[in-house]
Amino acid sequence: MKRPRYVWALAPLVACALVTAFDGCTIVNGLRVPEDAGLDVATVDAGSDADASGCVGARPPPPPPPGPPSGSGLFVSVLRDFNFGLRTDGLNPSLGFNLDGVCTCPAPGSCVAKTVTCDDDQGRDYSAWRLITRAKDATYDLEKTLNDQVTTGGPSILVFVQDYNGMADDPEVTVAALASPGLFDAAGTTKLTPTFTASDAWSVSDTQVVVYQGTTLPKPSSLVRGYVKDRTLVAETPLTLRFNTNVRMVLSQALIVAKITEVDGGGFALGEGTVAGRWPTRDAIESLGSIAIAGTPICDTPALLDEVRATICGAADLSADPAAAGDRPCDAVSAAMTMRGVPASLGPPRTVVDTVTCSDAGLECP
Amino acid sequence: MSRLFFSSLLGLAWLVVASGAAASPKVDRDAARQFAEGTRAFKAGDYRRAGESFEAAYATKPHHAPLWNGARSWHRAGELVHAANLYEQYLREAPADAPDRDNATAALREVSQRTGRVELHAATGVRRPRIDGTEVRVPVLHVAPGEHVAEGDTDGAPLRKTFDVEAGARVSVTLSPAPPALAEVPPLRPLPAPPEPSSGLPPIVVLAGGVLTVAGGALTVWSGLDTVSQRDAFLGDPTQSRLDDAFSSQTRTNVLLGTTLGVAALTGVVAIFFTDWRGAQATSRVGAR
Repeated sequence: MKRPRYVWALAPLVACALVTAFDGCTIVNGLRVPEDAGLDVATVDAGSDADASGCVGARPPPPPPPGPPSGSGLFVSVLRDFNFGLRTDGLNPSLGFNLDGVCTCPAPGSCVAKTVTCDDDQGRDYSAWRLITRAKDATYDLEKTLNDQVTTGGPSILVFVQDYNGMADDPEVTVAALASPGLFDAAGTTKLTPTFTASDAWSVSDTQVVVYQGTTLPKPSSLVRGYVKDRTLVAETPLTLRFNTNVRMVLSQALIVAKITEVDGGGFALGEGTVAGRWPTRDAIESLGSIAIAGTPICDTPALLDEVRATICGAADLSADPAAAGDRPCDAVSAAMTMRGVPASLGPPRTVVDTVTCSDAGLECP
Repeated sequence: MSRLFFSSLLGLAWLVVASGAAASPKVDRDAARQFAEGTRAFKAGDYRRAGESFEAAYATKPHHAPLWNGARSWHRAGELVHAANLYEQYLREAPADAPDRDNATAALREVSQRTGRVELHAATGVRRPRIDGTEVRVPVLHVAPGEHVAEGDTDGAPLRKTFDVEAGARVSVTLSPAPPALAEVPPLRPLPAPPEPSSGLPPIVVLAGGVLTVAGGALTVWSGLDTVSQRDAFLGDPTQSRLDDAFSSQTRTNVLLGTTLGVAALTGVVAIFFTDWRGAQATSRVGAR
């Protein structure tokens, strides 16, 4: 079939329209994911080559080849079934990722540690297990506390994913890790027992979301870019796990790596995954110092606070700031845990109340 | 020597205090007897027997005092690996303000120059981790310099790893099953096949579609630029009202964009599959004559 010349002239016209549409998409997405609003591209070093010592780093899967962002899929998952990998035999758990790109032992650490903590043979950084074990020995079981409160509608983490193309690989998705104070009834007064389906509308910290026409949406400042490789989501974002109002784990740069699963009836949710990150020592001392022993916070008992501080400072194996020079003292403890995501939705904003238990004195490593 | 006796006294005092609490009197008596035997053996220069007695006292009634004394005894006996492991255990268990903590740290540093320090890691599901056949229940273990074997049990094949460690060196050994093969990724969803052409439409329909696409595109660009402006206003002053304005503008852009795309796609499909261009060519040929 032969077409006249002016028909071919329509081709540039259509192409022009498509270019306009593409630009329009960028403009539209700009409101949700503004380039100038602190949106971080996931800069996860996902390489897997061995370093000079022969150590192969445990890293997330590498990003797929870049391509135009085309997805419109959106889903929310609440994290549950946290597991810090503590072993009953007292050995170092092999969990998490090589966060600093160094395989400590035989290589030196990425910062100056009071006590050298060896990574496992894939460079996994995870020294917080010592603190979690000590807290458990002192009858404060962080893992049980966290899991019990999620199953009863208490605080947890919501992972918001948008712009997902639904495929095995997506070079660019938008992600937010949102602190949820819990699941409440419509009046916001009574805690509800979760069904762990998308019908659970978990409240979200009002510092992280806004409401548009009754719909809760993450603020631009809460969003980061991630990617999906082989149906595994990879994103790096600040994240705070709350064990109660004053005991929390603040991960300055948490790496979230989790499978994406299809949900019965359509849609997606996060499945099993791993969260790993840097817990600044100051936050750790303040947080674990807030634990009450026989009704008195640890930080109100100088001898106990000394012991907690010594344990935390002795476990510090990373810099809180990944860009910090290697000759600086370590000021963060590496943390890792496995978890599982289940469907959820964003509920109304709610104020998170942070009570202050410990004064500033004694929160720094000597 | 005075350090040892200081600790011995501390340890005995602790046993006396503890006996007044919940512990069984027989356990306290046995621990005190073993502790006293260790002290006597140490004084007599029988460091091996002293070390064994202090360890027995610890096993009967765990406390950091016999650990320190045991470490000192094995150190004197020349059993450096044994001593280093007890110093490590003492430093793990003694309180932050324990009087011998600094001495233990210094002694461990000295002994560690002649032992190998192994940090054993194990993945979830690895059971009964062992080094040279002895089950390990501590995160750090000192061994004699040379070749060693780490083993562990799993639900699958048992794990076995041989490693070398030199005097004064630290090594990290991990017992972990081989990672499972990557799960097969589901194939991408195939795109639907394009519809078969069925009938011919006059070319004017395509022309009209092109005009509508251009007009829609222009409107979309205008609306998109307005959205950018609204977004910037929101980012500069993130209030709910500005957000509402920005989202209204975005919704308008989305609608325009969708409509324009729809018209463009429809025009393209009509032009390629549903237009009878032969009629137009015939007409132009007739006109040319």
